[in-house]
Amino acid sequence: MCLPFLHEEAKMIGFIVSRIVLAAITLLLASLVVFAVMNVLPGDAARLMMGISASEEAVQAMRDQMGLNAPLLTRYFQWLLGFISGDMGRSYTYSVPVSELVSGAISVSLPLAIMALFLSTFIAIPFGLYAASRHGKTADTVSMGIAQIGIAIPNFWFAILLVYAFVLLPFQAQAWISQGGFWGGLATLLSPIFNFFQWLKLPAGGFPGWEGGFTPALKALILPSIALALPQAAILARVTRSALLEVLGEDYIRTARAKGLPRNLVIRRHALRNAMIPVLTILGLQFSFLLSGTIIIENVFYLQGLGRMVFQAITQRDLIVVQSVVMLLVAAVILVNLIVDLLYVIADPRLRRPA
Amino acid sequence: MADSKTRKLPTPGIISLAIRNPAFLTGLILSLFIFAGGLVSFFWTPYDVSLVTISERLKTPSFVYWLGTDHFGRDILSMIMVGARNSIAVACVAVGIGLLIGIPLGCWAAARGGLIDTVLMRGNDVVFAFPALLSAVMITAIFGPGAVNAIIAIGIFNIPVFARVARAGAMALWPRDFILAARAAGKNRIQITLEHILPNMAHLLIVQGTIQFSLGILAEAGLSYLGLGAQPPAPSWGRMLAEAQTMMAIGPHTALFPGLAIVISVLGLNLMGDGLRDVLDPKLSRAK
Repeated sequence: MCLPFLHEEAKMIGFIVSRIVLAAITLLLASLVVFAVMNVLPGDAARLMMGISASEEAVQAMRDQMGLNAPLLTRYFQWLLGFISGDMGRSYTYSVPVSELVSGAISVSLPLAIMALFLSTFIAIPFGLYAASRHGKTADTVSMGIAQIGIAIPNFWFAILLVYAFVLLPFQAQAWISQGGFWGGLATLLSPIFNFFQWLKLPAGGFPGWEGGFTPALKALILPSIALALPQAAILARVTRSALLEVLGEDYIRTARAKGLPRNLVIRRHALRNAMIPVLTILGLQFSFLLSGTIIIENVFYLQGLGRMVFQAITQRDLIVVQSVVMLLVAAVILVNLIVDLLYVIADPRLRRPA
Repeated sequence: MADSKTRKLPTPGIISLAIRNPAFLTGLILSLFIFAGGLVSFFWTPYDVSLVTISERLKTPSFVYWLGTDHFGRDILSMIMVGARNSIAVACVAVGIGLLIGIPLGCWAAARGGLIDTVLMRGNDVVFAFPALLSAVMITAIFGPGAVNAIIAIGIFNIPVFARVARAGAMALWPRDFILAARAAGKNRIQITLEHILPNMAHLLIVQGTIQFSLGILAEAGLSYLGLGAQPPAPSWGRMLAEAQTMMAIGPHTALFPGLAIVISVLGLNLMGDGLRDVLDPKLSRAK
């Protein structure tokens, strides 16, 4: 157990080191799983690529070219060392280095993920705060009802609806206005909104690339990031609310209130900071869901990010791309959770004491 | 000594308690609505789902076609009803896989501790590091798209979830006095797990089960949206939405109703889960 002369800081460093070692072990095991799934399970990768009608010689030549004739363990270490040094091999379908494809895709996926993360946090925390401050009242129930619906909405359906509302509807509304009647009247009433949407000119899909200017690229990511952020925001709002309510029941909050501090000030100054600890954890855990979401959302909006790339590579049997991108995504999840763990230790001094 | 008396779950009053919980009741009604739709579709649907009537394509909702028709002139209500069967079956079996494999693993880890526990939990960490949908896409792409492979792909990710919940629940129970008494009475770990641990953490598993069920429906919808779930002509909500996406300009109603079906079923299950948790775990709900 804990030795009396052991410093608080030494304990913290010990905890941090053990977290890093655990993450490294998980990373190594995950790389083994990725390699095994890609190289053992699907049978003969060369045969898969060449098709059933290919001759044995052709398949054999392909195997040589792909380096599949080397022992499994050698191939694993070759791949792993290459991956670490940034050499991920060549894509079979595009005949370009995988690292080139990946860096292009990251320039789409990373800004998308960051935008979605920011958006969900900025929606969820005030929302959860509001619900907690109205605990037990109608506003609380309604807010949490909205959050429940937000969790239940599949992000790709929400994406389709967003495209309809922002891109298609404003055009259809013009036709309705000219026709008159009830729908025409309604469309006229809402025309400022439609005009605003039309002025925004958000694209329904595709990505122009950052080299074509910042604004068009950003515009292309707005609807996808909203679609991606919604379920995250709904979950986060619920966590924020319950974390706040838990903290608000603590003695030190009662003390602060007894001192005569107004409720809102207590929430802002004392409760929110402590409630952020579980919120941070959930934010880290949700990163994996966010990546899952990008696979679908990038497909909905035809964005050439990591998610769409890995999906296409899987359907095209471009196994080397799949292997590297999956490993990259898994490494990202492990790394984010490690960072959250470490932040957690820094934020919450109670954790530094050994259990 | 501490035998059957210790496994007292508040079972007798639980159903009436749950029904009185507004969240549970709302969830139950929503879920039953979808479930009934799927059940009725076995012997009756308004129209034949495979009936393609091009002259009736993209009809808006009316008394003839309650929810309208799609781009092939198929009745959307009938397709949603049959699609419910697919969603429920996939999610149900996927949860079953998680329960059957995950719970024994979690109980085993908690009962034995030590190396087995460490190995199992490290394994769990590895599985959790894979974004669930990514692996599901990989599995269905390797073994081919279809409902069965979708079930396996979703089910695999339920295993560590249930293992973790079962382990945490069992770990909290093992140091308790009544378990100690059972050990003193000479029962072995398997007996104790079956007779005392499992019944006392059943509520945790039931609540997790409803959550995973709703996640399963969402995952199935996502996979079939990508074309990796149930294959045509079998209707599935996800693929209906994928097809509707291309028809948005001329038939927006085709995208509305399959999406609503997903929302209603997921919302229903989540509300049921929340309500059940409040009823089964009063300590937790009082803290909130």
